[in-house]
Amino acid sequence: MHVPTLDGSIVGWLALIDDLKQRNAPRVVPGHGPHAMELPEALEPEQRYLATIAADVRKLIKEGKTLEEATKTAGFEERDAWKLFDDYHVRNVTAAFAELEWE
Amino acid sequence: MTWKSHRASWTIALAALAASLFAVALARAEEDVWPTLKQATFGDRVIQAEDGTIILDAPVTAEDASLVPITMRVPAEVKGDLKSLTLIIDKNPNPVVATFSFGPAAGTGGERSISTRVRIDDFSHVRAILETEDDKLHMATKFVQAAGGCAAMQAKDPDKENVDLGKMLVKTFPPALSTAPLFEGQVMLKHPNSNGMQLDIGTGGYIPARFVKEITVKRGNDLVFRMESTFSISTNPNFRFTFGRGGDNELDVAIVDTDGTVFTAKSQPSGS
Repeated sequence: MHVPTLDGSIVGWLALIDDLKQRNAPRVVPGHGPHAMELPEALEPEQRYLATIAADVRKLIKEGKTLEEATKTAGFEERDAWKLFDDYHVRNVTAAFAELEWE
Repeated sequence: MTWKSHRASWTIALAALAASLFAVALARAEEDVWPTLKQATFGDRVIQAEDGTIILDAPVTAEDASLVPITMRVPAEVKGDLKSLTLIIDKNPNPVVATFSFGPAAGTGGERSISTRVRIDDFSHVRAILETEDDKLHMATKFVQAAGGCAAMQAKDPDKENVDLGKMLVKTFPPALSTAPLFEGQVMLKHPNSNGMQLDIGTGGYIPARFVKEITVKRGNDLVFRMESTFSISTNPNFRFTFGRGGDNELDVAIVDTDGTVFTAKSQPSGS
């Protein structure tokens, strides 16, 4: 599965995923991938990925670490779970860090 | 001339300007601009390259060209006060990104550093030029693969980009060793730092330039540094830096943008 690319807000995405999981839709038709998937299972990998980044980045910010340090460590346990991880993950962490450091 | 045709002629003028800037950018991508840039910025002064006095950390490839982390470090072996530090991105439309002038509270006695985040518009050399107290210049250079950082849509969330404009955080981080002579500080400002090259997706026009041009950081009455910057600093300007330990280690920060708006803040209690 293609690694999520974080456009917009990581807090917003996590809230939206929560919201979508509450809905009683039996199926979801994704913009890419199979023509129909089950809910809420289809949302879970993305939720896990974004929640992992958010938790790691928040911890690093609390420890006073920098953006550069975060791009080298945060969320790397997710590496084997995704295609194109190396192409997008650092960008995702960068966006998450720039957002979460204001909390 | 009607208002509408005024507007049309402005649009044409802007389009012509954009086209000529683009042509200039294309021409510049081919040539080594550093000799001209060096002459314009430092004149005939000799610059020692890669002599270990200044170290530049930059990614080989910018994952997000509008938010590229840059760190400039002066190793602990380098003693004495520092005069100034200049950050240059050769291929950016305005290559001189920032100049820091250091004051008595900049500190000595350990590794000194400044980190920030910049926009990089093209594959380019990035340079940090340090002026030491003996008036000598030292340079570290890295080549960064990046594209489109200046015109990239600045806000990850355009609806919220100006909501918190002016919100400022100043933090201090005490050293791990309680007797160490250098503290760390961080200054963060919510500001779009628009450079005039970004499109407004609502209107299709360009967002007017409005960016931070000066930052003054003081510890008490003593200057840590004053920085003058152009528009290559990323949205929500962010600076992390070392400063000398003092009696108390509160920072006072004043930031001025190109609209003349002044933003001020003091550091929160240390370590918070």
